[in-house]
Amino acid sequence: MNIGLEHVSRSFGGFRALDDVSLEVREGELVALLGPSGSGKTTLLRIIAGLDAPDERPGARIRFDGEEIDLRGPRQHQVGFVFQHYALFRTMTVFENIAFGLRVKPAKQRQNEAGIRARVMELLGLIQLESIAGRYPSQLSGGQRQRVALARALAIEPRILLLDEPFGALDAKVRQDLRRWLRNLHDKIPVTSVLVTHDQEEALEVADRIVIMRGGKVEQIGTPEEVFHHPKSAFVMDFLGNVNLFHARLEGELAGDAKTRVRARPHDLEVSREEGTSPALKGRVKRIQTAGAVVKVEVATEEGETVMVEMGHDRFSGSGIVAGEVVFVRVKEARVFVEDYSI
Amino acid sequence: MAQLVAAPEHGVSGRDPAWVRVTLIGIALAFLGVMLVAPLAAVFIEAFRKGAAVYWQNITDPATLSAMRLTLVTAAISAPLNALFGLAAAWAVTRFEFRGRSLLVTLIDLPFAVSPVVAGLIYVALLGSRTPLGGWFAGHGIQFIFATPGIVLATLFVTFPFVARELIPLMQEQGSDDEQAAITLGAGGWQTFARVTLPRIRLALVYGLILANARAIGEFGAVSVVSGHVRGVTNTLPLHVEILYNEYNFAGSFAVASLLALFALATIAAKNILEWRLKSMRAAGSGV
Repeated sequence: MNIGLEHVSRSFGGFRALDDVSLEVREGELVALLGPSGSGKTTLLRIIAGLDAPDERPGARIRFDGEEIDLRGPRQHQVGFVFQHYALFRTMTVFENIAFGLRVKPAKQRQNEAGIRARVMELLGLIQLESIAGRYPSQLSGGQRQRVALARALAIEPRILLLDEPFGALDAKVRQDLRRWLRNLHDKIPVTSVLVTHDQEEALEVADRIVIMRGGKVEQIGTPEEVFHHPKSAFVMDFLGNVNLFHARLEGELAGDAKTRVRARPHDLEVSREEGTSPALKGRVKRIQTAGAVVKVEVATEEGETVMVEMGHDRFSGSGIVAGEVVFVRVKEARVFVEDYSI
Repeated sequence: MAQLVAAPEHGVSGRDPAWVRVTLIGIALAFLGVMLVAPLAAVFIEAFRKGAAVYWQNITDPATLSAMRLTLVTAAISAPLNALFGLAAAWAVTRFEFRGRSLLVTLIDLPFAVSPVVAGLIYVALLGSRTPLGGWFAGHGIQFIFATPGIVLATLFVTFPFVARELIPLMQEQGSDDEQAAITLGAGGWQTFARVTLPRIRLALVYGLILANARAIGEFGAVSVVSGHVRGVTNTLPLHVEILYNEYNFAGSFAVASLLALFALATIAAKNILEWRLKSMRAAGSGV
């Protein structure tokens, strides 16, 4: 189902949690709402789910498949919601948890017991947990609970699946496995999904498109590639990964007296032992970290700042850099944001 | 409350010198013996002083049976109303944000703070036959004071905090995520309550009701004011004990008192079984 939000705001007392947000989620898409805590992403998700209502302001509208819906009434639109802390019914077994949405249907739409059973077993197969149908939530690991919560939400054949920090309470390794599993699941069952997260890696890995939020507003919307490689603002660039900040004076068209800030990702920097002819920052290698997929080199500049450089292992062994020696850092690619200019 | 009686698992008491432990345990046991066990035993000894036949005669006396009936009727009416009010109050306090919420929480405790005699007098002042409200009801053939409705009202007043006080902390701790999950899965309000909320608070609800029931059966002060002590009509068991005692019928008085004592023992047993079940449920449900 296609979701359209227009001019949605939400205030709690004097605090504006959402400030005039417009957004479109396309059929079958997995969109991640990414932002620091307090940026309004969970509020937005709850409004889509109908668990909260936007402020009544002219122009505020929510459309499902182009059809405007009642903002205050309950959502009759088959919305599956997965909570951060699972919210599994602890007095019910895994089987009954998943069957819940099927059992509370009005008598006319309800399947018979055999039908419910078949559907629940099918979902248990999907989450690869057939063997634990009879267990209670307290007997499951965190990762298992979250999969059960997902199966429970999928049982009602939702036309939208909403996930609120679904992996937030899990440890790093389990989180990574589940993330990949969720992506595969979405490829198999392409239900329109919105996922809330504050973990940029999670958003970049899982989502078709990312909505980056800040202070109740949408900062940028785009594919993972777009937002990562073409950030529209300093905030987006900083939020999506490590950034080296340089103070510089611009030359040419934008030249001025004021100093400005230049941002470069660690992998967009180059370190070498030769001074060369192109402009470079002189510094001393403080620390080299080779454990990991890339080599991280920390360089202390003459100005007393620390610069992080990342490179592949091949490149590192070719360069022959050792800790303590004097090196030169060159910028391959960097960004200047207008908002920073003249500060 | 269950936590109060649980022995410390890694307590520091194990390192205290032996004489400290012996003294403290000795004081506690001596106190319990003098203040609780001996009087309880005395009730039964006095009740049976003139033999089992007299005891049986005393507890099957028509006035006693009538008092027992009234006490049980009062308890039977109070229990469902207590459950209803307790659930409503706990739900309102833990699930909604509204003006006067903290005032409501405070008011729930009022019956515990006020003397039961005052509770009784409140109803006399409000519903006595010479008051406008009482007069109006009397005109419609309903008498509160010196009648069963007044006794039920006074009993409700002193017992209604029990259920709410058991439920509020539990429901606060559980939060409303489960109810929201049920709603997103398509459950209506009633289905959510019956299938999700009620199973989670069932034991605490029963626990609160047991405490409320014990108080309903044993209440003296508030009921005494509104009852009028009409033997065989508006006498409850506790009031009947006093009447018999004032008539120097000690054997009869203690026989009826022994019924109340037996009921108290049954309440404690039921309470302990529930506490044990609540504890094992919490242990099983921890971290969910």
